[in-house]
Amino acid sequence: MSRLQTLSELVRHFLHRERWVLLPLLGVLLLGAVILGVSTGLSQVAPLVYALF
Amino acid sequence: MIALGLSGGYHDAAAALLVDGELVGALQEERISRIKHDPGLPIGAALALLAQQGLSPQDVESVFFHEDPYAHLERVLLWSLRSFPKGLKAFPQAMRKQLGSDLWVLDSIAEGLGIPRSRVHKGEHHRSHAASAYLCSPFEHAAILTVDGVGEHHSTGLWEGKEERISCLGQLELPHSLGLLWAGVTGWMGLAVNRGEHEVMGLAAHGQPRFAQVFERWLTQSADGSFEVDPAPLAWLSDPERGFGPAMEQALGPARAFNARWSLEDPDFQLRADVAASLQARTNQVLLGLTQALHQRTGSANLCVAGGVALNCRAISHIQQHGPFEHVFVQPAAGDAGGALGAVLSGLGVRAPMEHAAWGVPCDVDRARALAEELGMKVERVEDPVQRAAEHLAQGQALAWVQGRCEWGPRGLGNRAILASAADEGLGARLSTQVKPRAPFRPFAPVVSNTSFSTHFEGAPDLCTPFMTTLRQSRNARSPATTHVDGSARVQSVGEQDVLHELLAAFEQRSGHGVLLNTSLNGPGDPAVARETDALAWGMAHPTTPMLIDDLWIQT
Repeated sequence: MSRLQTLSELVRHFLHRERWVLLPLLGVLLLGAVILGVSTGLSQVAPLVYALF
Repeated sequence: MIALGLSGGYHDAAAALLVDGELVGALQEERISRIKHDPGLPIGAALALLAQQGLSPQDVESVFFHEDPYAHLERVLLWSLRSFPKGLKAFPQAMRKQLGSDLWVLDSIAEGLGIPRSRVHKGEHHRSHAASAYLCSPFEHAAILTVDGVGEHHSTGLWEGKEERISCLGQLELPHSLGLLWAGVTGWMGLAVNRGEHEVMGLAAHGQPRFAQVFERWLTQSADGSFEVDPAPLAWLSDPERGFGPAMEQALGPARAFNARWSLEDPDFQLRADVAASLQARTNQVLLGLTQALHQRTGSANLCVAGGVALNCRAISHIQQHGPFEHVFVQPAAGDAGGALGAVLSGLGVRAPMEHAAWGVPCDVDRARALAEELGMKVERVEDPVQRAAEHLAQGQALAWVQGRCEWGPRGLGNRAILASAADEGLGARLSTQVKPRAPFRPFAPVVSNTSFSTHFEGAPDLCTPFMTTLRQSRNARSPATTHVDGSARVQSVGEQDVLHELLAAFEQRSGHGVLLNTSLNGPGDPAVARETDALAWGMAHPTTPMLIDDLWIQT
């Protein structure tokens, strides 16, 4: 649950009108982070992920 | 109300504890983890401070972190875009750190302490620095200057403190950062970035500023005090470990090999010293310009300085001598560690005027005795520890001195110290080669009582001298081990309430000399001793130097 508080604060930070242009980049990076997390232990995905990051 | 301030995640993690608005403890994580400049989170330090007060983490109502992790991530994203494609190399590493740990720092703190996440609040890096200086000062009204590598977005802040409120007058953003310029030159010197800057400062005493024009080109200043740094010689985005790029080598010469041994006889020693002196001279000019601008805007006679650059005591001394302020205050943990204290003081809106640095953990004397005996050390309880120490020091011997709580900040300020006669050049040389190895251009620091300060050093004790955050010219040619070649010394003054004052008096009575050499009690690459186990481990590694822990005389 505490991570949800952080995610909510993060989104609120980037919804500020001077920062919203960074939201797409943030979205891609967070998606990448999720893939990295999910792919832990999946040897067939890991090489692709590590080539990206 | 029990509140913690925490800083960490980059270097010099620390914790500060307030109970009912009063500061009761402040400690760097390295003293607990035994990892020098520990970059982690200060959970160990926080738990140690709480335990010392008989509290548990569940008693903590609020935790204030010294910076804003979301603004930090925003800066990393922005600079990745701005520096494309140059910054591409460091981007994956930066993102792993950001998304893997830094972004979740408030969660990690809550999990580490075992408290609800709702009790953990973010701060603002430079505001935390500003609060650590102003709210710990004795001033009601003060100008505040914060200068470091970078906070969330900013490297430098101009502030005004009045009646516990801190107002921002202006900030400078990346890439214009004095701290990062110093980091680049530190890397070029073959020293570790974020660790070796103080060595560059020490080296400056040996040089002449013959590269002044180079640094005037790289670091330009406007009439309003603001400055710009040319990013060309730096490489903090593409190569953060080194911090400098090919343009720096083209202008100054080839970089020194990393961690190469220093020798005054090296053919390129003078080159390095001249570069250090040039950087120091330009830094002095720029900081002086900033403080003059601050004085004009605030009209205050008082100045507080914080941020990593505030630990440059040579620059602080320059501001004191040539600046418009009557009083200058720099607290002992002026770098990122101090952000922990600033965050909690700012979060609660309270003051904690700092009169001493003994805010860390004490030694357990009974446990020290039991452990020492178990280890086969000779342990003796002495009736008059001060007289025994003075007698030993007057015989030209060094002593490990462990009294009270360990110090807050990077300096040994007389509670965890190696002490020796400052007049004994041979002893100083032996200490610097056998006991406390250091570069040959770095003297130890002297400590002197307030009452005899002016006999040995120019001027009088002030708000910085108790914390060793400024320099003074020595009047004493008999103290080469504690004086730079230019006659300056990073002197500490001690007041009558300090047991060290009593020791200095007893030592002077026996030896006729009122100055002691004082260096922090630690081995090479180790943090300073905090607890009895650290002290005894140091004692075992240095069997020829006896140790006084409270009233226990211990000899290996």
